[in-house]
Amino acid sequence: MNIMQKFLANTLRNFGSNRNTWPRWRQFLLSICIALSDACRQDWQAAQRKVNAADTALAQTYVDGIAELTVSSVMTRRLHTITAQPQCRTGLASESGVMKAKMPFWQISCASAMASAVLGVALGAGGYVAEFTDSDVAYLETSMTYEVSDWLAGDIQ
Amino acid sequence: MLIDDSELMRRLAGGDQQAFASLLSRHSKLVLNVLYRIVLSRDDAEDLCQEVFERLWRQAPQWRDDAKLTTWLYRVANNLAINFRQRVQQRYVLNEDLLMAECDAASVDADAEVSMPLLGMNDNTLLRALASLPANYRAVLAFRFYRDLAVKDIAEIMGISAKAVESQLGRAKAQLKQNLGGGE
Repeated sequence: MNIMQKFLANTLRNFGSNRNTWPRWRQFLLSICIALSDACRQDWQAAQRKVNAADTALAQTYVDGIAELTVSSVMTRRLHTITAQPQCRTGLASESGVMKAKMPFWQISCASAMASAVLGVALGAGGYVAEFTDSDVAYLETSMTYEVSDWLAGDIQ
Repeated sequence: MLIDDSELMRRLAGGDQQAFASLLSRHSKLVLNVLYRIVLSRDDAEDLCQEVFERLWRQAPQWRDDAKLTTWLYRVANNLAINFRQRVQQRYVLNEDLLMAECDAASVDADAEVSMPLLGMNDNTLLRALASLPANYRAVLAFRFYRDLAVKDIAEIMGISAKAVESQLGRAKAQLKQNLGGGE
């Protein structure tokens, strides 16, 4: 038995066969041992097969050992009476993570900012498609003067 | 034609009793059995199962379309079952305190199993072995062995990391084997 096999046997004995529960440095060393030593790889595979067989047997014991319940007629009636209760149409559901009607604050902020930007672009782009009824030709009246005395005189009268 | 859970939940949000009946026939047995495997008592499992579906009915109008119904049902069932076991344990400890006050304290074993109310329920060896496990270990075993769920799905249901699930599963299996007399 080489040093790598001794390390593996020791780790299996002290930490079990699930490498995910081992300290990280042992997980790292296991990867190296498996890569470098065929004997180590075979030991590891044998340990895994043993664990899988034991787990399968335990799972079977679990499944066989507990009776599968059926929903009795009384229970069914009880469950069907639930619809007599009012549904919760306002407020938030209590189970976190699954039923969330609430929008996080940052999402509301982003949504408002995006809505403002879209509205600005839409209003600006509206100028391209708008139909103007007024003529867009302008005339400059050059005969006018700044003399307002006649007008003021007329106003006083 | 089989209507999927999402469509039934949309109908349920509108108060459709037929949709609720369909969901009951589809999921109530599984929820009941998962609960039974955690609380180890049919009566308690039925009470909790009713509570799960009461919540489903009440909260249906706020249902999120992207949520998976079975995950939600199992999560609520798991939370209720674990809280229930903690309440039972507290009640038992309180009763034990009362007993200790009335009797000679020295004659009472303070380390009596907290799962004592379960012992008269069933003589089944496996149930006895499970009764001495913590409720979260029973939950992880139920989801893994009974429902055959993947570790990441169990993690989502129980609200813990996949690594934590693996760790709990490993400990639960080892403890169950030991309780069944298999050891490690």
